[in-house]
Amino acid sequence: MLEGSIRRNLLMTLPALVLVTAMAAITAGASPSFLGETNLANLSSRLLPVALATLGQAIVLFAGCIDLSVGSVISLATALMATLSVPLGWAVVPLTLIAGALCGAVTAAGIDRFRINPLVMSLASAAMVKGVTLLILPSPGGEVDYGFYALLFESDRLVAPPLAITLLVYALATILLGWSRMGRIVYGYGSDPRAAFARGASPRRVVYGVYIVSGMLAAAAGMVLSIRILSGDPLIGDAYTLDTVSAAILGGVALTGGRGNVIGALFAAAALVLINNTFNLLELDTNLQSIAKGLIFILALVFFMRGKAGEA
Amino acid sequence: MPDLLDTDTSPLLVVEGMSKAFGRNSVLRDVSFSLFAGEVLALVGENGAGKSTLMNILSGGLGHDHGRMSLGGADYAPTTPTEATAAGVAIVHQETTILPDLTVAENIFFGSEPRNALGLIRQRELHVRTARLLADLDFAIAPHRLGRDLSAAERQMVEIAGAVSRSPRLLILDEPTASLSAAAAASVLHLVARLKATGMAIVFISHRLGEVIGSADRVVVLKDGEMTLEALRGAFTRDDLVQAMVGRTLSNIFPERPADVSTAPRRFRLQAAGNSRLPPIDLCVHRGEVLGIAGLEGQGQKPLADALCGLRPFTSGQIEIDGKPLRLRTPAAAIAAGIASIPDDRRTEGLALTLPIRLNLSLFALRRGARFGLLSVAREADFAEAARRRYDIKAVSLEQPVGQLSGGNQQKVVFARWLADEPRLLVLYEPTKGVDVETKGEIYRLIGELTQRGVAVLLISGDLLELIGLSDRILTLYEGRISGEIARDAFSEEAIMHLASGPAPSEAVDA
Amino acid sequence: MALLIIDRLRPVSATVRAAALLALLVAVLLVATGGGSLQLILDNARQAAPLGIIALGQALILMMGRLDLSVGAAAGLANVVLASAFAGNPANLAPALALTLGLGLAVGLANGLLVVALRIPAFLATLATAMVIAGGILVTTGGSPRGSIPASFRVITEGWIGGVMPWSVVIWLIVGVALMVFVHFTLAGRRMLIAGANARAARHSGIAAGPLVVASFVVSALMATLGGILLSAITGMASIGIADSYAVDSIAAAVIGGAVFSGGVFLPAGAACGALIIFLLQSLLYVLSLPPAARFIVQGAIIVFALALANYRKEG
Ligand SMILES: Nc1ncnc2c1ncn2[C@@H]1O[C@H](COP(=O)(O)OP(=O)(O)O)[C@@H](O)[C@H]1O
Ligand SMILES: [Mg+2]
Repeated sequence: MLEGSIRRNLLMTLPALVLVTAMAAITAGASPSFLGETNLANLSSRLLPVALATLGQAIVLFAGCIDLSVGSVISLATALMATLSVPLGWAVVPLTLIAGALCGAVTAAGIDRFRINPLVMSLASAAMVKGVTLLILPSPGGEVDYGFYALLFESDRLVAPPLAITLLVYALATILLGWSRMGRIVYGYGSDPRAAFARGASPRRVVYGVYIVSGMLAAAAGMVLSIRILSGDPLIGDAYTLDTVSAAILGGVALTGGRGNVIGALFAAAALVLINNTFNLLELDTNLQSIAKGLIFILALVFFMRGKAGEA
Repeated sequence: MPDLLDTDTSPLLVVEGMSKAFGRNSVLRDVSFSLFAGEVLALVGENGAGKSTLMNILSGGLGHDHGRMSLGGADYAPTTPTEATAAGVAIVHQETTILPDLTVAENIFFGSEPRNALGLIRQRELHVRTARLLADLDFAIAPHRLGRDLSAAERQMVEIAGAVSRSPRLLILDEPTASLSAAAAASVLHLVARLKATGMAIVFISHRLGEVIGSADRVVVLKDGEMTLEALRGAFTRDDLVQAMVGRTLSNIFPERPADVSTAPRRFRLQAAGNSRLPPIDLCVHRGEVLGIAGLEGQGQKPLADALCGLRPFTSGQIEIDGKPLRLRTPAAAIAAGIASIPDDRRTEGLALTLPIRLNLSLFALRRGARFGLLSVAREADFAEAARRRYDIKAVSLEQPVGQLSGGNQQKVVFARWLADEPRLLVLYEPTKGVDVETKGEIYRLIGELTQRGVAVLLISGDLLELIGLSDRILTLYEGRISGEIARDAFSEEAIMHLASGPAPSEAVDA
Repeated sequence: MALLIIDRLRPVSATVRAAALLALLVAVLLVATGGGSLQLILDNARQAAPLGIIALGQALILMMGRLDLSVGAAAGLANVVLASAFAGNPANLAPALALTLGLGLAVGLANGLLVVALRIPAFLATLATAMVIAGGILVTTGGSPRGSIPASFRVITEGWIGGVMPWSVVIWLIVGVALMVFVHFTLAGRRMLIAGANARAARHSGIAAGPLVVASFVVSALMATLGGILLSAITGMASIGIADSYAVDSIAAAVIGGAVFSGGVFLPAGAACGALIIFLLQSLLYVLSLPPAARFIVQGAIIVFALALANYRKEG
C-alpha cells in the first residue's frame, strides 16, 4: 500500500509529528488544566476550522499554486450563516458550500483563462470576496441557529463530532490524494506542470479542481467558526490565511508543489492550535500572539524550505 | 511482417501540407510525408529545423496553422496529448517529461494506473508491473526511484518504457539516443527493430547519421522548416543527407583553419580544476586555437561551462590565463579576466527577453561609458547601432524587445554583447542551437576571425558536424572526465562517438 | 507593420492606456460632481500622493519580479511613530523624522534580508513582517496610539505653493522623477532592471542580483514610510490600521500602470496614473454613496481587469 512517492511524502510529515507531540507535552506539563475534558473538547472544536481550511490550502499547494483568499472565504461563510441560517435552516449549508466553490472558481478562472499569477489572482479574489462579505454583513453580528451548535458541539457521542469530522475528512483526503488518479494528477501537475501537460494532465481541470475544493473547505471552516461563536464576523477570517500557509509548510508541504502529505498539515494545524491555546492559558496579550505567529511563520519558512522556493 | 512495398496497403500516417508559425516566425512550411505500419522513419535536420515542432503537432501537444493528417485512413487532428494517446500515438519528447516527484513506476503509468474495484490505484501492482516491463526491455532501473534522481540516460529509458507500455500504433522518439552511450543507443535501436517487427510504425529523430542509415526504412530531411529530402532505404547516402540538412556542402560553411596552432603560446590552462559537480579536469587552449569539447548529453558539459564563467566556480586545482594564475570566483571575475562565455540557453541565461535590444546589447559597453554611475545615453545608442550594423542584426528597431527576434538574431545580440571587449578566451556552449543555417555560417565566420586575432575558443557542442568543421583538436567528456583527445587529422563521427561512450585506457590523455 | 509600431511603443502604450483611463475617470467624476476645475483635480492629486508614492516603491519591487505586501503596515508604522514622536510639538521635527525613516529603513532591510539571505519568497516574507509590525504597533500603543502632527508640518500635504500647486504633488513628482532617472539613467538602476527582467541572465553577465533586491526592498519601505508621513500630515493624528489597504491598492496602481509580475518593467508615470485612478474610483464610490464594501470589490476587480487586459494583449 505505502509504496512509491506516498511513502516519501509520509516521511515528510515527521517533523510536524514531532512538533505537535512536543507542543502537547509542553502544554500538558505547563498547565494541568490542559488535559481537562473541557479544554480537550475546546481544542478539538478550535482545530476543526483550522484543519479544514489548511486542507484546502495544502491541496492547492500540491498543485504548485497558492490560495490567499482562504481567509476572505471563511469570513464570507460566517456572514452567510449569520444572515441566512435562521430563515433558511439546513439549506444554508449547501448554499454556503456553493458560495465557497464559486469563490474558488473565480480565482481559477483568472488563473486559467486570463493567465494571472495564482498568488495575485487569489489576492484579488480575496479583496472582492471581502467586499461582498461586507455588503452582506457590514459589522460583526447576526445570528446562527442554535440547532447547529447543539449538533456540532453539544452532542454526547463517543468521539466529539468536531474531532470525528476532522479525522474523517482527512482520511478521505489522504486516500483520494494518494490513491486516486485524480490525486496523482494533482501531484504530477504540481511537480512539473509542463511535463504533466505533455503526459495528458489537463491544467484547466487541475486548477479549477484545487481552487474549488479549497473554496469549499474554507467555506466549511467558516461555517464551523460561525456556529461556534453563534454569529458572523466579516473580518474574522483574515488571520486564517497565513495560518493555513504556515501549517501547510510546517507540515512538510512544498511551496513549489508536488510534495508533502495532508497528514503533516493536520499535525501542524494541531500544533498551531496548541500554540494558541498555550498563549491563552498563559493569558498572553492577543497582539503579542500575532507577533509570535509572524515569527513562527518566518521560522517555518526558514527551516522547512531550505532555499528551494521560487522567486515570487 | 507487412510488406513495405505492397502498394495495396494504405499508409498508416499521412501528413499533408503541414505549416506552423510562432508569431511571425514560420517554423514549418508545407511538409508532407507518409508512413506505413511496420516502418521506421528517420527525421533529420539541424537544430531548429522544426523536427520537434512537427512531432508535437503529430502528438497533440501543439496545434497547426495549415495542413491535414490522417491516421489509419481516418482524419486525425488531436487537440490534446490525451486524444493522441487514445488514437494510438505515443511520443517520447526530446525534453524529458519525467515528473520529478513521482517514482519511475508512477511516471510510466501516469494517467493509466491499474485500479481496484473502488477506483483506487494498486500501488504494489503498479511497481511490480513496471519491474516486469523494464526487465522485458532490458532496462536496469529500479521502479521505486524518484524521477528527480534519474540520470539523463535513465530518464530517456523510462520515457521509452512508458511509451512502449501503451502499445501504440505509432511511436515517436524525439532524439532518443542523444543522451545515450554507444552501447545504450545500440540497445534502443535494437528495441526499435523489435517493435517494428510487431507492426508498429516508428518515427525517430537523430543527429547520428550512422544510426539513420543503419535503421531507417525511410528518411525525411527538414531544413529551416521545409522538407528538402524524402527517400527510401538505399536511395540516399550520407552526403545526400548532409547536403539536404545544410543546403550546401560543408566545406563552404566552415572557416579555413590554419595548419597548426599547437605551437602558439598557451592561453588558458586548467590543472586538476574541479568542484562538487565536476571531477578534477586538466586541459589547455592555445592562442588562436579552437578546442572542441564533445560528449553525450549530461557528461559534465554544463558544470564545465558554469565553472569557466564563474557561475559555479572551481573549488580545487589551478587556473592559468596567459601564464598568470587566476581565481574564478564569480562571473564578474571571469569577465574581468577576459573570459567571455556564451550560454547554451540564450532565452533563460543570455537575454532579458522583454527588454529592448539596445539594453541587451550594451550591458558591458555601458561600464566604460558611465561617469559617476550615470549612463551616457548617446554612447549607448552609438554602440548599439554600431553593433547592429557589424553583426547585421535584423530588427525593426533597437527598441524592440529582443524576445521578438528570430533565434539567429537573438544569438547575434548575445555575441555582440559579449564581444564588446575582445576576450582572451571565448567559451561557446552550443553556440548554434536553434539558429538558422545562414546565421550559423556567420557565427562560424566570426569564430574564424576571432581566432586569427589570437582569441582562444573552447567550443562545447553536441553537434558533431560543427565540432569536426571548426575545431583544431577535440576532447571528449564522459562522466565529467576527459575520456579522449583527437587531433584534427583523425576527426570522424565514429572516432568521437567511440571515445565519448566511455574511457578506453590506452587512449586516455593527460593534458 | 502597424503591429510592429505598437509593439515598439508597448511600455509607453501601457502608460498611455493608463492615462486615457484616468482622463475618462476624471470626466465621469466631473460630470458626477457637476463641473469642476484644474484646482479640483490637483486637490485630488494632493490627497492621492501617499498612495502614489507607495505605488512607486511597489512598482520598483514589481520590476524586480517580487511583491511587497508589507507597505501598508510600514506606512501605518510611520503614521503611529511620527505622531507620537512629534507629540504635537514642531520642535521635535528632526528626531521624529529621523526615527520614522530609520524604522522604515529597518523594515526594508528586514524584508530584503529575509528574501535574499534566507531565500523566503518575497510575498510570504513581507506578509510575515506586516503581521509582526501590526502586532508590534498594537502591543506598544495598546490599541490607542497617541500624539499628533503639528500644523506647521501638515503644510506638506495641506499647503499649496503660491496657491496653485500642492506641496504633496511636488514631493510625489520629485520622487517619481528621481526613481525614473535612477532606473533608466544610472548604471546601478540599469543593473536592477536587467536583474529584474532575467535574474539568471544577469548573473551570467556578472550582475549579482542579491544586493540589488535588498536595495529595492529598502527603497520600497522608505517609499511606504514617506507615504505614511504624508498620510499623517493629511489626518494630523495617529490611527490603527489606517494604511492597511495600501498593500493591495499599491499593487493595483502599479499594475494598472503597466507593471508585470514577471519583472523587468518600470513605468513611474503609469504607476502615478494608476494611483490616481484608484483614488478617484474610491472618491467616485463615495460620491455615489456606495457602501465601503464596494471599495474592496473594486480593488480586486481592477487588478483582475488590468492583468487580464495586459495578458490578453500579449497573446493577441
Ligand atoms: N513554443 C515556441 N515558441 C516560439 N518559437 C518556438 C517554439 N517552439 C519552437 N520554436 C522555434 O521553432 C524552431 C524549430 O524548433 P524545433 O521544432 O524545436 O527544432 P528541432 O527539433 O528541429 O531542433 C526554432 O527556431 C525554435 O526557436
Ligand atoms: Mg528538437
